Amino acid sequence: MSYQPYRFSRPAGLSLVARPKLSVAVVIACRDGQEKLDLVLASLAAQSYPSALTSVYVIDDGSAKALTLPKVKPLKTRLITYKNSPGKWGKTAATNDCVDRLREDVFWFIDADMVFEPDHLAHHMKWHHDNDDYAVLGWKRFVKTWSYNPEELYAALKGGAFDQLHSESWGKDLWEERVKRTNDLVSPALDGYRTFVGATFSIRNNRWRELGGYNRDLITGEDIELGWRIFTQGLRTVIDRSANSWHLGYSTVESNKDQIHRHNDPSLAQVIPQMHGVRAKSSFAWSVPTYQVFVDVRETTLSQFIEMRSHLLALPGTNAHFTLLAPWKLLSKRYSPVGDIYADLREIRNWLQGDPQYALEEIDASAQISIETILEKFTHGSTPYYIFVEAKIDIDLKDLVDQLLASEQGFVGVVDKFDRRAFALIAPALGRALESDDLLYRSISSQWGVLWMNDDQFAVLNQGKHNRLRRFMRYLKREGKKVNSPLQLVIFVKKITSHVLRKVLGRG
Amino acid sequence: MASNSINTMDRFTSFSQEIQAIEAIRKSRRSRIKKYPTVSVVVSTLRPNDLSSLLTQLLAQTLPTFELVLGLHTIDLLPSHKKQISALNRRKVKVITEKFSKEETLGEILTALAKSSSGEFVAKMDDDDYYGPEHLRDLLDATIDTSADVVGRAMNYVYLEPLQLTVRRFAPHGTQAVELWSDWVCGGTILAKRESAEAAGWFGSGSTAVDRFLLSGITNNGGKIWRTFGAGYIYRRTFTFHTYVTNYSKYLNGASDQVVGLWDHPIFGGPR
Repeated sequence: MSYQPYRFSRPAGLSLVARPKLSVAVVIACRDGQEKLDLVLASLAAQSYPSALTSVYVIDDGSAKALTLPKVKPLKTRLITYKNSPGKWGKTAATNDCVDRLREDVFWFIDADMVFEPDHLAHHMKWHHDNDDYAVLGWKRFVKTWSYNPEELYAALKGGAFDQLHSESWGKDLWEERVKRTNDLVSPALDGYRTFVGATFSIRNNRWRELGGYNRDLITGEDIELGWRIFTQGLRTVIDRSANSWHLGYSTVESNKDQIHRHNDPSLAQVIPQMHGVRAKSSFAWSVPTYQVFVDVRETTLSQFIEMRSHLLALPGTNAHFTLLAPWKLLSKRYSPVGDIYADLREIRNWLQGDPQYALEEIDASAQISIETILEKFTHGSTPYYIFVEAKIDIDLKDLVDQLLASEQGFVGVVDKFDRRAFALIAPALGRALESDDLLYRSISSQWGVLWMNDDQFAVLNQGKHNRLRRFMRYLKREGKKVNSPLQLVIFVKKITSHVLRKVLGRG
Repeated sequence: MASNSINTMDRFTSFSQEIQAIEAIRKSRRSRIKKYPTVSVVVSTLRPNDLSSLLTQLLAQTLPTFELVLGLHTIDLLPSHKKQISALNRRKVKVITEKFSKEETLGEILTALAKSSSGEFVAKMDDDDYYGPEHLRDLLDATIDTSADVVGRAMNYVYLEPLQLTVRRFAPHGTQAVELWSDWVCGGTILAKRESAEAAGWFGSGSTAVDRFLLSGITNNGGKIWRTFGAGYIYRRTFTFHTYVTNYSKYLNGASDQVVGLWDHPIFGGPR
């Protein structure tokens, strides 16, 4: 990285690059749909980004009738036939396998049912010339019908008539609303990844490789999952509103919502811990934990640890992996069950050692563990939160995580009157720190912000948080905002009533 | 005595405002000084690593000359320490070392070191704290300006080793207030007039509260203590065994800034 950005900040008013240097591979994976593909290629032929730097790869992923390259297309356009077999079919496998051989600086992935404004690619590329840590999304509007052929489309685009191609078009309100709410992803929070849609996005080749490309276990929703990893990695997702396009027709998600959810929900929730709403529907274990926790359990009792854990996992659908730090080897010394001086430690080990949610790691009985040493222990991945705690500290770790989010820092720590520490950090801060040449802790501090407080200060911040009435009022306010029709009002009242009854009458 | 706006500063005063005010004080004080009196630095050390770090900081002092009286409490000089001492000698710092056994208390050691020193002023420094290059000169500036019997620093910067964090604390009251008469200064920054400290019985003979001993002795004899600005000195709270609680968390109260690592600024000696 040529310079280190602060959180997800980005330059404003970046202009198109006058003398671009970066080469780009345009990747279109498609199955059938020759007619729309011809229009896509015509609009690519009209792009202003230098054709010498642009190569187009059309991947034919098992079309019934083999795809062909039309007359109107960019200079360097290649057709790759992806030979299908079990495990080698579909967009994710086809894209990953074919892109693996490409050497261009930047990849621009597009759907095969798009018409691009002539500067569309140039807008993507201005970001990649600015820095190497962007994932850029283009802007799009949906159209129901179109009547032009490739030649006409090419002529219109060259004539500057992109805007005039359609007089009627639709945006996706929810998507646009989310983009607005996150300030165009400068403040993505934990849900910003959901704006990551695959219809037109670009990323540097080396970043794509570091991320490992698409998750090939996914058949749909792969873009959302990639967006999640882009977020946890600390890369900056940019939505460029000036990179315009028309999307020809509605996407399949719109028309088959229920089936798509049934298919996508569990497979995405496996690898996106933030989908705790889906996870909460079952008590199964999930592949990627919400929290990666290192716990110093020296001088801790099993019940203290269990209580700490239950506070952390108070939100349904969240899970954790714990690594317990203690001088475990002391337990191998001869002892008697009556008068065991390591009874507490032994009890912790004997209860937890068989459960894969827990791992034991050896530390010296008198070890003083520095923050940097702890940070080096974390294994970065799709897990959004990384936590360290000296288990005897009496704070609610879920509150700590909430504080981490509310403060928008990369790292928030609490130390109590007995010198016991706890801290939480967020994945993008760790992800980016791992790439910097600086010490992890210092890098997190300079790029994301570090905040320490003592237990009294922390208690003041959380005052009244667990007050049921206040919580209920906040809930009312939040849910009330969603009411926009009489039917919604009825649903709202029903929901509130059942909620109150459940609380008042207990579980029944 | 310099009357400055710095003692009206509070926790909303920014670091750069503070540095600006300090620069003004220095300029005003130094414009009136032609020659510095002689100073002896007394140090008791029992940690070889901390001694190396302190010797480096002493070598960087901008005060042209001073005497260093080093008390080695149960340790011996390493070859690297000897090299550092030669470097100090070359820049006009006379170094005397004395060895002390385990039985001797901190008070006894410091008192003995002070007695064998020769400076008109005696400065006590702690091997586990951090001193900027202007430290000794700032203290002398203040003592010349105020004619105080003892000058020392406020506690505005604290390094919390378990958090690898420097906190900046600035308030018009308590241990953070600067440029005022007081009965307390940071123990690691005491600069005392020889005759006043001698009359107070130096650092006594106890194993703790040696600074308190000197400061009370001074005030009991009718002497005066001036507390100057804290920037240029970082008080360090080290890791302790987890069975020994120090409650360093209290230093986070009222902290106006937090910086990961040691505060990186020329006033503290630049990056470490």
